[in-house]
Amino acid sequence: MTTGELRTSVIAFCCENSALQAVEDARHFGMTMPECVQTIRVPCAGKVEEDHILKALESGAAGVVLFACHTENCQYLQGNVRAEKRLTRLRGLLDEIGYPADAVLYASAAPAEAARAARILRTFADDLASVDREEAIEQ
Amino acid sequence: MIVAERKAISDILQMIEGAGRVLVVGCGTCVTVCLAGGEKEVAVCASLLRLQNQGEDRDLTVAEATIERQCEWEFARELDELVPDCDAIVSLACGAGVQTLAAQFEDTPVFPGLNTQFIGIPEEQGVWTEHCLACGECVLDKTGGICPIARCAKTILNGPCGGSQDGKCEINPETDCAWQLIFDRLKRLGRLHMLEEIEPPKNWSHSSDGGPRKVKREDMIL
Amino acid sequence: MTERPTGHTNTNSNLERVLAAGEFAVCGELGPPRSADAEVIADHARHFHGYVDAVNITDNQTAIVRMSSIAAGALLREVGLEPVIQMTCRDRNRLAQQADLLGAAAMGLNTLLCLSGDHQVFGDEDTARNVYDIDSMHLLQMVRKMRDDRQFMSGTDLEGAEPRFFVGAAANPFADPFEFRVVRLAKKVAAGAEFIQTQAVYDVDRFARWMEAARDMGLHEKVSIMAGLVPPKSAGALRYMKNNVSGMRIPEELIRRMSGAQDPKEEGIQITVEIIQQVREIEGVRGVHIMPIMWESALPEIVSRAGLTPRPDLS
Repeated sequence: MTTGELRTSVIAFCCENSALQAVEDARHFGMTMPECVQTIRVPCAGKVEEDHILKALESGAAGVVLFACHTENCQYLQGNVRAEKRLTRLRGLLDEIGYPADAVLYASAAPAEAARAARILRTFADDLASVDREEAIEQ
Repeated sequence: MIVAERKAISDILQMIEGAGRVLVVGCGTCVTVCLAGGEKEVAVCASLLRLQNQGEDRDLTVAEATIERQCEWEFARELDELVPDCDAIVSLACGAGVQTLAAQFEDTPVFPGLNTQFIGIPEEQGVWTEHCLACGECVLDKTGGICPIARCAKTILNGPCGGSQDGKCEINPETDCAWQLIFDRLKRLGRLHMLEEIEPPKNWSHSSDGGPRKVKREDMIL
Repeated sequence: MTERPTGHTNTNSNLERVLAAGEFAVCGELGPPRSADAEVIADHARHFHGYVDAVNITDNQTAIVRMSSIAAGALLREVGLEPVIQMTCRDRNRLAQQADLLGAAAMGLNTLLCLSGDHQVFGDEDTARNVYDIDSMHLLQMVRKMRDDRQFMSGTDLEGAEPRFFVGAAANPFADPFEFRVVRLAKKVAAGAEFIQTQAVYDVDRFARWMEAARDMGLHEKVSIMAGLVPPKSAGALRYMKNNVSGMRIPEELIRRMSGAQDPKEEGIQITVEIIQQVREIEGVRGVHIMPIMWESALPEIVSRAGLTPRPDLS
């Protein structure tokens, strides 16, 4: 994939124990999904570091979703908690450089929640596409 | 370890203004362990600088490198080939690391990307606390292994002062009173009698008050 | 340190004379102005005339910049009152402290209180660097060395008249750890303290327990202990001190009494008088140190009602 293709895309880091299944099912069942979503399988949302997300933004992604298990459902106990905290910190870093912090999103879904996963991704992609946000980036 | 914190990106941006090619250098020792200036933090810092520059007119390239210890010539020299290609270095190391790079690369401006905080320990995951002030004349033998120089807000040698209450320091309810800790520890060790003696005034000439310090080992000098 | 014979004095300090005569001593306290107005000192001093033996002059109290305690003390002396110069270790190193001690003595100031000082974070210059070169224990030793051995801290001899201060220290019976508080008092006595002024007493029971421990060590014979008092102006003021001043113990009962009072100021004066009467009953308490923070006008009433007037004239 080239940077140009990524420009309008969303990268979703998906926990292989939960959200990944939900997103794949959503696709499989033909639920309405933004076309531009690229999923990256991760063993746990807690494994995704700040620099992974920043690299995704740098390479042209319009937004990044960190898709974890629901609260208290993490196989590694605290992975989702850590992931959410890390994302909060990352938003602060983006704020620091004047980059719209809503380009990154923390979300959770259970494996069976295909509809929920699809809805989260749709909403996120719609928000990213809104004129206000593009203007914000331009500025 | 030496504990540090990253400076605000806006401060770093101000320092590197005008530089087109920037090298962000991390240090693999103390500041890696305290999550301020290791390889990962270098990647984050470099990414932030590049992202911030998106949509700006100027060309900015940000290279990354992390060496084992910035405060040693042998490791600093590993950057010899990278440095000529850059206009500025942002050092994510303690003040000693920054100065080593500045001395090693005389023709390239070296900027501090961190604020060096203190010599400390990871109190718990994600929390670091100051434990040593490098005063040059250790008193821990007399204070139950708890340093009043680094951990008492007034560096009192004959504490605790009147502001110690419920084990906390008057300046901050989150800060333990070092002298309460010393008292408790010596009590536990059955050595409370040590606190009955007046500890004489400190000889600060061994500390930074005596001017920049130097340690020599004659047998090691070539 | 050996016990001093009654009546013997080392200095020209009025406070020392009063204590040596076995009188129950009374000190006031005055915070110098945050300006260069000399008149403010005289203006505040009028409340103290005839009601106290000496007046403490604070040294950048709560780390807020004010006229220097030595300068303000000299001005107070001009209007006929004896200042107790407070000196902290926060703002000056041993060089500056010794220089100021010489200067203060040269200006005829005779009484000194050695303190570590409130940390600068409490004040309006909280970006300042603090000093704490020496601590209050060392300051006591240094003052006594200059006076008794005619030597500077370094061991070098003074080249002329020595500063003759009657030397005091602070003690806080209400801070922690309680069991060490009297040991620390003993250290201050060993370091050279001749009188002690305590943190404000509201919890008389705890103060009495502390005094008992001091008596057990015979300290009441070696040093003149003066109980500190801050007349409460309102329940809010008490609550503020309870919550914001470390090392203060204020019983809830006292706060309730103040908040139930029809005339809080009158109640505050009454409470202070009662505490004076209670601490006076405790063996070894040799005087009181009344700190009427921003309320100097209450002092004459308190001292009179406590039956502590007239003050002895021993000059």
